[in-house]
Amino acid sequence: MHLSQAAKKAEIIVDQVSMRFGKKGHEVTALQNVSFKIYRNEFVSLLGPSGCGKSTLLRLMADLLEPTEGQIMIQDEHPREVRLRRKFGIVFQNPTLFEWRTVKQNIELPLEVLGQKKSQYSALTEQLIEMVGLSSFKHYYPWQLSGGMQQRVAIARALSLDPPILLMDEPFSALDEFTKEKLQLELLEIKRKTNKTIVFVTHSIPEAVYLSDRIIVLSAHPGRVHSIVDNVREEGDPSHIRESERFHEMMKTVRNCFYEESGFLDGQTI
Amino acid sequence: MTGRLFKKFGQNGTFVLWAAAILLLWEAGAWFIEDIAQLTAPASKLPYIHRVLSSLVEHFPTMIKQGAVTFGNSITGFVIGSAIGFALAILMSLSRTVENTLSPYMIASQMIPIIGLAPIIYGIIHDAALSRVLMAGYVTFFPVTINALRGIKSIKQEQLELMRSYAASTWTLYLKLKLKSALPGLFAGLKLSAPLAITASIIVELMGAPDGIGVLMVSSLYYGTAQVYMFWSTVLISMAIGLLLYLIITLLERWMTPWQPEFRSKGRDET
Ligand SMILES: Nc1ncnc2c1ncn2[C@@H]1O[C@H](COP(=O)(O)OP(=O)(O)OP(=O)(O)O)[C@@H](O)[C@H]1O
Ligand SMILES: [Mg+2]
Repeated sequence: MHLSQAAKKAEIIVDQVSMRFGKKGHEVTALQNVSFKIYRNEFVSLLGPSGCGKSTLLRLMADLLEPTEGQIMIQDEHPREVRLRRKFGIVFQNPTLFEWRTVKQNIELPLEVLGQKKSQYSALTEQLIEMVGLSSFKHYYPWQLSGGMQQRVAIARALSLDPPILLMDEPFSALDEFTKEKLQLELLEIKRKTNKTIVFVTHSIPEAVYLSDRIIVLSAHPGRVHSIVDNVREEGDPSHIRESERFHEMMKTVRNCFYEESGFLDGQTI
Repeated sequence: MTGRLFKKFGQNGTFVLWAAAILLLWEAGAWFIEDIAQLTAPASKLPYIHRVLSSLVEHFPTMIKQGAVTFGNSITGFVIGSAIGFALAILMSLSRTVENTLSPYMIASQMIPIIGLAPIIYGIIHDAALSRVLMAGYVTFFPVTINALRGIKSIKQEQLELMRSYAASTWTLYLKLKLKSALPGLFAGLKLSAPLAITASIIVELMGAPDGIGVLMVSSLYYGTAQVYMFWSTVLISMAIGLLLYLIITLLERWMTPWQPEFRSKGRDET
């Protein structure tokens, strides 16, 4: 992480992106002039209050929406090209599993859609199931699993095509504190093993500080980039990060973005 | 395991108890009408159930033969109607324009009373079997379309986005997501239209068809009190036919949509 930014390869470039919803005259501006870069193998969090356009931004990167203005480039291509070549995996806030599929079948869904043969990927799915710790549940249906287990299935499913980019929209926000910390640790482990570029949406400051290399802080109404916090994560044993001096320093820094610096909440009516 | 068996027996036991109670009440009612109040033509009001049953046994071969004719045609119409209904649901889910174009006609078609339509159809084609099939199909397709379409439309946005992120073709999207989501609605529609399909066939028979359980119904009505037990037997047979169709659908539903909440205790995939 000590390379100069110029030396790093920009994976995702968001350039002057604005997004408005609704008909002319009744428009809602979700994002206004948003620009930033995300580098290869980086873990970047999009942090901001509810309604600031984090999900919208992620959907734009995933080519699930078209920006009203500006453009997004991923690996020097339009997001559509990237989507058509299945270069990213998505995890939503809700696990979004298919009720009629077992754990294993849910994880295999992307591979089936790709048209691969079962014999080609069965070893891979076993490995993924192992990785998210659901070996003894692989023939269970979603309704037989806890929320945390379902979210792990969703993560394994996003990894099944081994995409270089992982887009995650508040994947842990519906979970209890214990499950959340466990999955955060697992996510860092996955990141360490696979070295993917991860874009992680969250509205939790500790979560963003714990996980990210960089945090892009967004402000609301309309959504804009408020500031970008660099060099967030320190190297070292992730299970002790939370106790470190540096973690608390970083928390303070990020928190200050919200509360002190420029009257972040001034524009909002609560 | 034994606990579950016991519970199952308990449920069936309750059902048997209720059925026995209703039959007893029926007999008591019939006894009151015929022997206590001594009303005229008591059997037309509420006949003794044991006499109805003995008449049913006596005429059983005829009943079964005519019942089979009705059932066969109803089922044919029902299957064709469901297939068309399901196809319409898929067509309407493909495009809003198609949906908006078709739905007024579909709704209007359901405003025609079948009791009025049956003689028209029978008058035109003059073939009892074909009329029954047509009428059964006619009443079947609408509930199937409406319910299956609702199932497809209830798919969550994230599920669609997920498939889109895999760059799934329309064909794959339907195969892996939309058709599956339509199944619970399809079965809800089938359950609604199964009794309708049988009634529709019987109505054709009442309009002068040469065979079928409905014909037995009308002819036993003509003979007044003499055939009143026969008449009640035909009603029982029609009920049995309806129940049989319903049962088949329920079994199919259990087999094809085991993930639905009401089947969940058995939903485990053991492969
Ligand atoms: N499909 C849509 N149609 C109309 N408006 C939308 C749509 N999607 C989002 N918006 C609007 O855009 C704004 C940003 O929404 P978005 O879901 O991106 O926020 P968010 O930051 O993800 O919030 P949260 O943390 O609550 O998930 C909101 O004001 C919302 O009302
Ligand atoms: Mg959101």
